[in-house]
Amino acid sequence: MTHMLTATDLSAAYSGIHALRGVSLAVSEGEFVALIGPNGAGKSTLLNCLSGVVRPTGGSIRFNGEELVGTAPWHVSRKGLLQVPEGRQILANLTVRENLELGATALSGRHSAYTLERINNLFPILAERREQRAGSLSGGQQQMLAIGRALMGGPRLLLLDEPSLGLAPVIVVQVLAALRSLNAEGLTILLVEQNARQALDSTDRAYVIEQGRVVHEGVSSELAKDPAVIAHYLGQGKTAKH
Amino acid sequence: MLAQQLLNGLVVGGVYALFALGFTLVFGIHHLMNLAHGAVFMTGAFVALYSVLAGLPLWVSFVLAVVGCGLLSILIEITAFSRLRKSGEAEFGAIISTLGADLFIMSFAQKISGSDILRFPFETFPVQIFQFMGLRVTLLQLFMAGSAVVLMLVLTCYLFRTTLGTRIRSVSANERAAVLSGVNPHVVYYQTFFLSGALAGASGVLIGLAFNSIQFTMGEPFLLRGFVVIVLGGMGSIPGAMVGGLLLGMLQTLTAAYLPSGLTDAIIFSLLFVILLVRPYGLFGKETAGAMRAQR
Ligand SMILES: Nc1ncnc2c1ncn2[C@@H]1O[C@H](COP(=O)(O)OP(=O)(O)OP(=O)(O)O)[C@@H](O)[C@H]1O
Ligand SMILES: [Mg+2]
Repeated sequence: MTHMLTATDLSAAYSGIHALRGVSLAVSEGEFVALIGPNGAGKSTLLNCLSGVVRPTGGSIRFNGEELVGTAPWHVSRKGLLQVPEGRQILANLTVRENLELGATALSGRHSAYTLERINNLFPILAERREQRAGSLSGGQQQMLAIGRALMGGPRLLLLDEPSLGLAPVIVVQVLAALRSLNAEGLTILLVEQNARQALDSTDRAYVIEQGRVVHEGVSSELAKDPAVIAHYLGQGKTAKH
Repeated sequence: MLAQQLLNGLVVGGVYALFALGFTLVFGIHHLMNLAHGAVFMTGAFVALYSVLAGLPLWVSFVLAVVGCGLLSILIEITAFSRLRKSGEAEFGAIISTLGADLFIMSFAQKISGSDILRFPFETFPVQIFQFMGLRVTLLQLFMAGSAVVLMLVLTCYLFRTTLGTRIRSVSANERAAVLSGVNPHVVYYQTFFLSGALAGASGVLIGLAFNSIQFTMGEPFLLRGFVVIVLGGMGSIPGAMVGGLLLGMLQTLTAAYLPSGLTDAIIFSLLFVILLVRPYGLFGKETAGAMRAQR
């Protein structure tokens, strides 16, 4: 099977402190893959390496056959590898419309299946609040905007960094449902989550990372039954973050 | 009479606003202070003057000065800012490096002109005076006011009504998010520095024409005034620079007209002091902007 994305033996460090220690991971076209792990495991670092924001100290990243290590992040985005960053990072002082327009920068002439109309159908609230300051949206709406912004860039692979962070449970369910429907319509997704239960329930396959290493990987529904995973990630009172 | 002085002040203030707008643009968008901005202003006057002396029509010289200063400003970004930004030392380092650029450009101008005060040939700008409701307006004043208004409108539309402007504002607000959306930040830096330099160049030509006294040091007092304007208006605030520029222009003209000449600066800086006591973030400044800076 040929993969859309293959990361091989990736390592990364922040001023000498290792954040990734030889992570390998692959995502095939059409898959919905989860990446779970505790605080500080290196999940965001991994996504940022894929996006070109953090430069890995070793290893390789191939996206549709092309080596990405060393590519500037804006070029990575323009190839259709788009990230919805941790904490949403919407532009609070710009309008919803302007945030979406900004997202379209990553298209740079490529054809996209995700028209504004389609995004508005997925998240009708974005159409309603079109001319409002993005900062005036609620947390869940901001997350929808962040996803909408990435979709405007015509993703071939969408990376999401903890989209459920700080959202009410009912909103989390909505966001995950939107991601599942995007995936059902053909979008390849790599989802980082601390909320392991929901991530495993929504995805096809998953990786568990701890201290910069992949410690488990496999089919999500099987991982959800794995005693080691249950003990660490699916027990009660885990994932206290806020 | 008062109305006449107010009018004169308004016209000069419009040009101050242009100058300060360029300065505040770089500060507001990139959080960097370009202390060579006064030298770019001076370069604008120089380029226009030497082009006119070389026989080019004034409007061609004006365009050359504006574009030339835009390019000079990009050069300053490349030499004095971009390397520091990579090392993460831009905020303090750039004060030194742009001061260096300022001195470099000034010495270069001094080499060309000597220390002489240079003047545009007589009637470079046609001398024409209109009477309007008892006020006296020269064609040059109309041109200055018109240029200021047009350039400010163009700038505002560019920033707030175009996709490129949205990209500039997004890099300003959150460079990481902009980059993840496919924005090449270098292109944005070049654009803001070009706009900033072009505004400085335009104001240099206009002030050069208005006071017809061009010297390699002419940028220095302007840098200080530009500073007053943006502190007054609020650091990085575009409407603040516009209103601050107009206020400063009127204030300066009025004090010069009605008070002993040495008092102008004393009054301006006292007023600045009082305003900052009442509104520490300037007239249009936002408290959050300062708070954000403090966190970084
Ligand atoms: N900019 C940075 N500078 C220094 N160290 C960092 C930086 N970002 C992350 N780290 C460190 O690298 C390690 C991995 O962090 P990372 O943010 O990738 O973890 P994470 O799995 O995303 O955690 P979380 O669930 O809290 O978001 C942590 O030890 C963290 O402290
Ligand atoms: Mg993280």
